[in-house]
Amino acid sequence: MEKFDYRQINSIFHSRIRLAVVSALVSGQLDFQALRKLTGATEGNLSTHLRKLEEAGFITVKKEFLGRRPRTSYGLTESGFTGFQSYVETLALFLDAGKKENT
Amino acid sequence: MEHVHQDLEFIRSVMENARKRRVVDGIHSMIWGTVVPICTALSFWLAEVQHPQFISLLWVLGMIFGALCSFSAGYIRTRRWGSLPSGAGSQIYYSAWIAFGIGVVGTMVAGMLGLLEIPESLFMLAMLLAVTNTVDASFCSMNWLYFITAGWFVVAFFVLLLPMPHAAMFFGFSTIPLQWLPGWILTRIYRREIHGEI
Repeated sequence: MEKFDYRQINSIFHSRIRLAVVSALVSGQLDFQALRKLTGATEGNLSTHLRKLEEAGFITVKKEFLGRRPRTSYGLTESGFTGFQSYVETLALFLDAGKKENT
Repeated sequence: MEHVHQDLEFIRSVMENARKRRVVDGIHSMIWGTVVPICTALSFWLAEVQHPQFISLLWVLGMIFGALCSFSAGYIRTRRWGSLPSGAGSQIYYSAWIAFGIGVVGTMVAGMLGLLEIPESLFMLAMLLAVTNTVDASFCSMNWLYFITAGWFVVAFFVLLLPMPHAAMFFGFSTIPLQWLPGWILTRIYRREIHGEI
């Protein structure tokens, strides 16, 4: 078995909230309130994590007004999708390698 | 190792929750596609047995029953899976259904009081349903099956042009292919999505 290289894991996914946000956005755009319900995070906490994901270029932010109410929706970028895909693949590979070692 | 397994399980559960919030069922269309043909059939039966004075009352009760069933189905779904993806979208969606309910009762009361003729009532009713379905389709799901349900509007226009009992009957039963059938297909897709795993 090859040694598991922790550097293969993108540090952006070390946070459960960021991981939940990206996992939720895989199936399409969601607004802030929907993300808050899905992650169970507080507004302030979620905003901080969303900003980090935006700075990393993993998500896009779209701000618009519906009547007088502002609405912010988030979507996954191409690099966000690729990053998430490689993260899941790395985890799966690690799990697979661990199973082989045990048998 | 355990941590990796937990992470993968966590990702799976979040993805599944997000997906389940997106799928929209066709239960509202199925309800209207059942209530309207039954009311139509009963109306013709009442006319046949010489009790036409009960027809308007039957439609008022039928529409209230349909609106209550539709509201209950929406309420149960929201309680189970949470609100629809967009907060603003769901507000417009529910507002549209409430407006539809008020419009239906208003139209039927106007019909009972003799302020509206039957074809005009049906036309208004269909227009309300078509607008509500289109709003529903726009904000909840861009599924083309939802847009078929707006076809009721076209049939209602036909009734307005040909205000005859048989045209009204055609209008009533048109809800089976235009409401019930797409609703049934949407509900089947919804159930498959809800029970399916990623």
